[in-house]
Amino acid sequence: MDGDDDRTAEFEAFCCEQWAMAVRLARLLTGAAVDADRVEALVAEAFAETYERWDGDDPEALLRRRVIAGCATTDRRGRAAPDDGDEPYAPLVRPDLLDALVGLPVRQRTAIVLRLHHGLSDQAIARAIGTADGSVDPLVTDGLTRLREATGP
Amino acid sequence: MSGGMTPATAPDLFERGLARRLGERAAATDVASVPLERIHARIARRRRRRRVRASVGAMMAVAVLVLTTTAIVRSRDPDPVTSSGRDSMPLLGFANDTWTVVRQSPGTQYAVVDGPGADAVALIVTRDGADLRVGRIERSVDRSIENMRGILQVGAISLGGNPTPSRPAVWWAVAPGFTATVTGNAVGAYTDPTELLAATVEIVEVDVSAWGERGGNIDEARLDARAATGPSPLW
Repeated sequence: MDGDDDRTAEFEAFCCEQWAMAVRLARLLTGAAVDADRVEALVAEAFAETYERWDGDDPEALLRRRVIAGCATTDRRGRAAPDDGDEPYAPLVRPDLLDALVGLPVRQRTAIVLRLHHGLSDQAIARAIGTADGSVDPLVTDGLTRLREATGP
Repeated sequence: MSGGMTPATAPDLFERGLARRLGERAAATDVASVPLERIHARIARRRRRRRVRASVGAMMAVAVLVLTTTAIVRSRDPDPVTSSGRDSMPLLGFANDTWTVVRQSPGTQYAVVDGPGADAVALIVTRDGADLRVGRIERSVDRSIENMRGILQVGAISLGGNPTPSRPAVWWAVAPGFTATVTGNAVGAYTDPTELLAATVEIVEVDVSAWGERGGNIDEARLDARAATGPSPLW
């Protein structure tokens, strides 16, 4: 039982240390369209998944992967919902930079956030989103190009 | 958030602006206190789900095991001759207690002989797929057997795969999935298949009249295998 107690205490300390980072990452990846309660729920689920695989080996990277996976799932469900209107989307004004970011494919969006906001290496980004190291730079470059086009000079 | 090296190329003005906006958005995000109870509730729920999945998996494994075992047992069910099931093992002869069972494997094969002498006849009934014979087929005849069209094969067999000399034999599909073979019990006996069939009268009824009219040609004979009467001597 002592081992379980130690594990639980260690995990709870990890939760306190990483909770804010995880929520902010999830918020950046999901955008304002997802309400705070859903963001908190997906982050809590990511922590629960991290606890299941808890072995002390880079739990931060594991948590990051679970948060990204939860955001991707939320993103897929959100995009699967039918549109309310029949008219195609035709913005009257150029979208805000962060709104445009949320409009990118989830892997491009995630790679950009992890590089520009979290300052991760391409190798760490590749681990987080489950792709080859060499695929990260094209993802970021393409994403930034689309953002530039969407938001104008 | 640690994560290793930053990218090799320096960010341009647009990227720096985007990074700044991301930082502002992150800083503005309202982060409530850590909901440890909610996290532990989710851990417990995931644990329950895992247990349910494991239980369902175990039950399915047991069900598959039971069904497989049942199917195997049924496939080996000897099912006596009195059964009319098409998969039952046919028992021939035994009408006058002159036949002696010399080998049996319920549901798979049995062998009987009609006496100890050099002119004794052996009958072997095998489930198809049981490798009891290495045969040399001399000829196959499509003809009436058991009131159905079937193949009567005449040739030679080696019993049990042993390196014993082959012996003349006649065999046919006695029931779906089963082959009946008659052969001389002694090596070298009954080299003439017509004599062989004539010696199996307790088991195989040969329409001798039609046979005789056509010169005793086995190709023209009509066969009817006699089922056992009374209690089976095997099971």
